[in-house]
Amino acid sequence: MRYLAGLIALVLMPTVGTPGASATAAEVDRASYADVAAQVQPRMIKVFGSGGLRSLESYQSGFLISADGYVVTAWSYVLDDGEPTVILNDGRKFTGEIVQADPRREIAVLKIEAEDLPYFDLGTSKRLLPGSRVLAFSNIYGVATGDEPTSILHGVVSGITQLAARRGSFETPYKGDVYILDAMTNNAGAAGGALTDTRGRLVGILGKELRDARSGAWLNFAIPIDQIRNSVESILQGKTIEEPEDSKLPEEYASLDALGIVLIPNILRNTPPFVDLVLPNTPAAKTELQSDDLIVFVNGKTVSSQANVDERLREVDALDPVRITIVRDNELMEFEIEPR
Amino acid sequence: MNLAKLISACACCLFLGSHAWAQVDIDLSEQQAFYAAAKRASESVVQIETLGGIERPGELTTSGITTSGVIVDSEGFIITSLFAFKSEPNSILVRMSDGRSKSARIVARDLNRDLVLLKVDVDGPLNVPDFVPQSDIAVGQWAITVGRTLPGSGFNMSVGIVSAMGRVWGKAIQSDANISPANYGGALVDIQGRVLGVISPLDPDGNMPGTKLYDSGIGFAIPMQSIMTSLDRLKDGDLYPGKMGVSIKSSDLYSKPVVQVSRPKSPARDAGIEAGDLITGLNGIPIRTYSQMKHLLGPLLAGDRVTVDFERSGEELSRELVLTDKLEPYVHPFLGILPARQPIGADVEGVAIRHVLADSPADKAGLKVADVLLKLNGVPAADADGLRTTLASVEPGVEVELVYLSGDDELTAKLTLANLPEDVPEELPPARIELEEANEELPPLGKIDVKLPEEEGDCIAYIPQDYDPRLEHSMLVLLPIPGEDASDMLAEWKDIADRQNVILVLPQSKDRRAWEPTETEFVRKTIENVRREYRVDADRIVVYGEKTSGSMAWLTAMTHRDLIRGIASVGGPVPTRDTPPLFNEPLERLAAWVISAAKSRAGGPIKQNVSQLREIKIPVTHHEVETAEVDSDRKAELMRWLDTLDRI
Repeated sequence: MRYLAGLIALVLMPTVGTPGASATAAEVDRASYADVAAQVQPRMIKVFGSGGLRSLESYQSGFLISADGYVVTAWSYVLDDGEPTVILNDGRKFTGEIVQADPRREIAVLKIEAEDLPYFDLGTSKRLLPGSRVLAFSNIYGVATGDEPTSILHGVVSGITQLAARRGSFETPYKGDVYILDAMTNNAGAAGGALTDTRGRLVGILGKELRDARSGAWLNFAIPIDQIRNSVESILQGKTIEEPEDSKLPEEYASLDALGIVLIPNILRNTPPFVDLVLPNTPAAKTELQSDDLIVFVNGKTVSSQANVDERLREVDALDPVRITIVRDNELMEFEIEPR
Repeated sequence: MNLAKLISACACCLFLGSHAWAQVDIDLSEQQAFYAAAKRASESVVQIETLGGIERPGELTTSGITTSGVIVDSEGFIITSLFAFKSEPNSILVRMSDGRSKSARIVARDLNRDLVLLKVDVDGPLNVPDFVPQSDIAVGQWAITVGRTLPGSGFNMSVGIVSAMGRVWGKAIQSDANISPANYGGALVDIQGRVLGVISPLDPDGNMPGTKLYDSGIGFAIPMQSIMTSLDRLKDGDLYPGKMGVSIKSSDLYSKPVVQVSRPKSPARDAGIEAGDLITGLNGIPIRTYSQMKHLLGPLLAGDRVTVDFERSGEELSRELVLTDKLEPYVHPFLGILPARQPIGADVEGVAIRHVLADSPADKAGLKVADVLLKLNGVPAADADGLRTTLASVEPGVEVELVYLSGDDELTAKLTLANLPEDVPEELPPARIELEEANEELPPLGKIDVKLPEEEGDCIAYIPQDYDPRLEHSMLVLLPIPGEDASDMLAEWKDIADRQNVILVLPQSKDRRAWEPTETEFVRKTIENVRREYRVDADRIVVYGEKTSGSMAWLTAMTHRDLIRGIASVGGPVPTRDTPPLFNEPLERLAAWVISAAKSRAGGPIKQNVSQLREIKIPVTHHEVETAEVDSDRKAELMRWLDTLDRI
């Protein structure tokens, strides 16, 4: 009898103990946005700039990352005056001390004097796929004042990309991955807000207002937590912030001169990169590149102006070959140029 | 016993546990399904980069637009939206889902649904996606957009539902998924990744690509099934909206579709459809309202065969015709009279003559002032509007029979119709007819403020001192130059408005520097607002402007053909961008009065406008002068021109 009971229990255990049914303390029991909100809102803060000439729209968002009051927010003009006001979910007001900023990732760590605060653990975030549902917590349009909680938006992840992959489009020093969001997060006040999944787990920090210079469209995006984790840790430990890998440029880099390519005179800001001359006895001369060819890709990345071409070449080591793709008579052609 | 209890207890646990597990699983499953659907469809969604209008050296290049496209044929045909092709791009680069780039060329355009067909050279067959037949698409089902406009070669997606079908006159699926330049030309797919349609920025007003609706909760996609059905024809050349050639009163969409004019040399006319016929069905589908007829015709293309059922004098008839892409420019016929203006409520049979224009068919036939026109080609003339509509089906050069009353005698005359004149008569009978003393209380006269609660712009109006609510008045909408005071402009026109009994409306631009194209809506509202309080003749509403306000007057007239009958511009050319196409319409007459200075910068373009207008048979009164300004003689001429716009 006991043996049979045990056997039945053994068989049934895995089904009862499957993921979801057993919620850990870090997750939420039921898949209800209301419960997620109740869990997340106490971790959110509202940041206000301490006045000055640009007190218009001098507000943004942030979230707690430790019980004693360390906070992550966006690095922006709101912090310019050095003493931002931090207001908690329950209306308690503090003066935030700027610990340190990471201008490349456009985030800053602040400290308020407090204890026993609820907070996000940066260590446990995961990456999401496009289509994943997300919630964005922030003080959009500054509509939450005093003791009001931040606003919640919902949507899905639209895609994952690197903004820097399209030169001339986005004015941001950040070169890593971003989540493009299918949610209206591009608003005054949203920067520094928290992006969570539908269980309330922190997955990203909302980006600043950013516009695609080519199409004029505003972008809704967030930086994944794994991209800021290390620099936040460095800041908390008082160490110098490590530069992201891809921003390390080669000491000696490729150039049009070295390759032997002369482009048409750069009269306008966005002069298209037409080849004017291929100089004799140069690496480019060994290929079929001709004058009047229009350069469209350098190493597979789009270039739409001469400035773009120079920027791309600066990333290439002087000793490495360069793939140039051109358009000639409506046809695409690719040449690989071997440096000397 | 114990075992039974144990087993049932375990069964309960299992049930509860799996229930909770299933509850959480749906959310996760949905998200995984969204991703899987988009990923599957993305195999057939390409990135399109247009490098536009590059000329070297020295000419500015438009720095290229990135949009998406959907593969429709394994041999390398791709459908995308017209959005990136409004300008003529020099180079079109297509990047496939595997990252390979190819150069593409334009094969043809579908100008009914704002789509473009591209062709790339392929090494092997391309992946054509599955699509959902229109009849299987359900309002409320998931609709996921798939585009490929992010930097790099990944795809981007947004999630929504199908909000409605058959939108934009039967052409499009409506969705609340986030539709924007990020996915124009891309695919709208269902939860299984099958294509519902290709995303296209359509303007519900049907004018220009509706990009002003982006990120607003509403977006459109052209059903993939209908794209595939017309694909072979598109491979052979451009496709155009199909036209029949009947004019139906457009102001009332819910009215019965009675043909008011059957356009000469059109498919309808050639098939034997005539003015007065009531359309009862198209392609076997019964029609009760004009709106239903527009919905059925909307998706049809030039070249499509259509069966038209209609009723004439109680008889049910049916004819087949082939829709055309271009109708012959419509030419208004002209008898040569100005109708007498009857006070409201006057019970008068026929159309009394107020004035006979010199050298017109009426003049040559010997008609005189006070003669009353009774019948045209056997059709009784109820009033001026009715006579104009009956006449509109006959072309200039054709003979008509007129029965009229001269004194006590009923006479018949045969007249050969002429074209509408462009000259303005030197003299006309007074604009205002004298009536007996009115005992009605008059609304406010003189300068009044026009207040529109939902609009921020300012507007004033001027009601002439002799305003009589029993008569219909001319309305002259004067557009002040942005930055200049409407009151100053009013001071220049007040006296002549009083003498000619013309109501003036002066809407001001919101911005002191320039007019916003969208402000034509505001101008329209001010006109409608004044019309609610004061009697205006619908045939004598004219918009006037000088220089930049002249161009704004053009835009207003072209956008609101159903309201504006005349456009007067001094030194202001027709705007070159974002104007709706201009045609001469039988029931929506438009006449132009244009002053240009030969040596000014606008002089050349305006001269070109005038010849283009004459080509489409819109009557233009054009004066080329030394300096484009309006002295009192010119103002008087403009007023006389305005006074003749109700001509028949």
